[in-house]
Amino acid sequence: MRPEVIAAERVKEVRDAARAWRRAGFINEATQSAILALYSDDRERFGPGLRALAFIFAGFGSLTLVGLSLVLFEPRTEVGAGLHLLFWAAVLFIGTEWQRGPARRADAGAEAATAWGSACCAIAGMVLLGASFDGSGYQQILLRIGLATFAVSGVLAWHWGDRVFHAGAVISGFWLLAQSANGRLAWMVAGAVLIPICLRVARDGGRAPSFRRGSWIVGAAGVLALYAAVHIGSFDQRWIEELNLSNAAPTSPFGFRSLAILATALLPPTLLMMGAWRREPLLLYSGLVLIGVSIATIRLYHAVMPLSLALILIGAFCLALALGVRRWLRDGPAGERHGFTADPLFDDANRTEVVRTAVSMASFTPTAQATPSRPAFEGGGGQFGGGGATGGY
Amino acid sequence: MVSPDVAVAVERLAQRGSLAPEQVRLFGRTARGELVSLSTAIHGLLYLGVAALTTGAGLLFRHEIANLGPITIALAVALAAALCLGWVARRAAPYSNTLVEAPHFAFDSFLVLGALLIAADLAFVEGQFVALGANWVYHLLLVSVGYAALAFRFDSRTLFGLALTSFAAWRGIAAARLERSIFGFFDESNLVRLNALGCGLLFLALGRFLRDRAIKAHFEPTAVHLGWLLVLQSIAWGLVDGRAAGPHRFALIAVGAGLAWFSWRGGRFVLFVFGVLAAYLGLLVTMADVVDNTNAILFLASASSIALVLGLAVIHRRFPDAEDLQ
Repeated sequence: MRPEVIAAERVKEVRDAARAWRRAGFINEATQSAILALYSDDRERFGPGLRALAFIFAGFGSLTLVGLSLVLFEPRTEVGAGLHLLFWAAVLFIGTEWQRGPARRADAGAEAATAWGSACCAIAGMVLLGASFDGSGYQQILLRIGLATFAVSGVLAWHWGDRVFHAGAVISGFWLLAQSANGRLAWMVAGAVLIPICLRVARDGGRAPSFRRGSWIVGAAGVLALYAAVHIGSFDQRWIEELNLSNAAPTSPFGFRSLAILATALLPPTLLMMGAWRREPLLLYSGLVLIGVSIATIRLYHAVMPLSLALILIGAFCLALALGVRRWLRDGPAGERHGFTADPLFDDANRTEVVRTAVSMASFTPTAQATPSRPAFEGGGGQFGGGGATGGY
Repeated sequence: MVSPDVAVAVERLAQRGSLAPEQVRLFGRTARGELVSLSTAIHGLLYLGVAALTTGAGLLFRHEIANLGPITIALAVALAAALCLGWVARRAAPYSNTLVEAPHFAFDSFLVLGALLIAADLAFVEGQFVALGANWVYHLLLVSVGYAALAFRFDSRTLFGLALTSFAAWRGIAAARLERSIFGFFDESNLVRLNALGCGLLFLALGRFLRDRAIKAHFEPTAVHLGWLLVLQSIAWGLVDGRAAGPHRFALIAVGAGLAWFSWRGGRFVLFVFGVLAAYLGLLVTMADVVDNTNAILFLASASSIALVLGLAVIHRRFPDAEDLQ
């Protein structure tokens, strides 16, 4: 990634945080303005409306341009069509680089559309080129699509950091692993290795923010892959083996089914506990969701009670748990316990003691006195204006 | 959200005296991941619980209908709805024309659950006892009025949106069923289209009324967005409608462009998107019809969309401080 793009992403993180603090009433207008002035953004960014329009029109324009080129030049061989698409992939790549570099565009819609267009053309071009060398069987085409998607998404995720390319790389990567002789074992190993690495990268300040967000996505995919690999239903139904194009019989080690039963029951609560211990939302949320999946699995294998009754009990348990956890956390000192709070931290609703303390303390702090008579920021060692908050809650 | 960059910035702002110590502590802890909000998980559990509970109850009633009888089931659902709405009524603040903050984080969930249970109960009663008979379509009108009443009383934009969509659904079905006898010279698609147009205009007028009279003015965007969607959709339906296609295309371009222009000036960016997309669709269909050559159509489509992207960049540079751009 370009250093200036990484710097702009870091600035945006701070600017977004300042706006969130302002929305929640943590800081006043003057403080927000001072922070935004200190962390000034050199990128041209569109809001959601313009961004959506720019993405739609740039994507449509790029695709019709490629379509027009194909119609005009009519490449007659697969190699010709492949090279043609690779040429357009290069053109769109250069266009994206220009937008993100000299044109200083970010979150402007068009640069994302051309990036996606470049990736699609590159994948299609590589698949067509490959087809000219090793025939065009159905399985071969699928394998080439998987390989091309993994290669292109991986390179573009590394180069641009977009979340969609991280997702494309990790999904195609796991699909490729499923093609190996023991795909299930490969998923287990890859999932177990990816989770800690990605969690560490997601908190690494040395990495670009987009790369950190991408790592979070890869980590989430790792959790799902690990669970899918050890899930008893997945083992019995051969879900991962079904992804294998050659339909090779799984070589499951002796006693794996018993271990899968244990893992289906134990992995979700383990993730939940690790998430609570490390205060890691990814593990926490995935643990909660997977506990639900494991309960549904147990119900599928052992119908201990009618489905309707089971749903009513589960529903009542979820409601009681939600209300109980919320009350327990809110009853804690300053509305939190062990680093967890029940309230949305940077929202303008349902603020508890955490917010009240900060707001009231900040309002009575000498540094919080607003100084509207002078500019918020003074160069040459000057100070910011007030850091106080509104009392609007 | 954990963000090392924000954590560094908080330290820097603290050294400059821009933030008070309590703010520094809170922002720093959040950015470092030392304070985590479970709000999303709690809300997720709440919605999951409501969904599982209602699905389970539905299955139970379906399986036990022979044993319990329809009256028992109808009464049980009504009781559940009454419990939800009773809790809501007990918690609710007095009515006000302005925005009223929800007194409890689960307030809107229980309100919507109660309203949905009532609607489902009405449908169940209609199915079992055929109360309205051939006029069952008025069930939707009844539901719409009920949703609207609850929405205004308890200040729920979710229910207000449901009320409008139920009303539009009533007009759509009623158009096909009842009004054919009155407007016999229209075919069914024209009737539905006219009803969609009428509903759209009605919603726009309703939005204007709410805003001008300051009666739940924050409901206005819901009514206006749905209203314009229906208006544009009703015009777009006629784009390939034989002899009437030309006027429809012209109308879509004119209405879309007008909507984009006025909404941009008024800072209504969602409506701006609607307007630009509608006008472009009308223009594209017209171009494709006039040119009638694949290469030329592709060229025009590509050139026009790229021109639009450049136009958006120009607009952005002219109004860099507009709200949408932040």
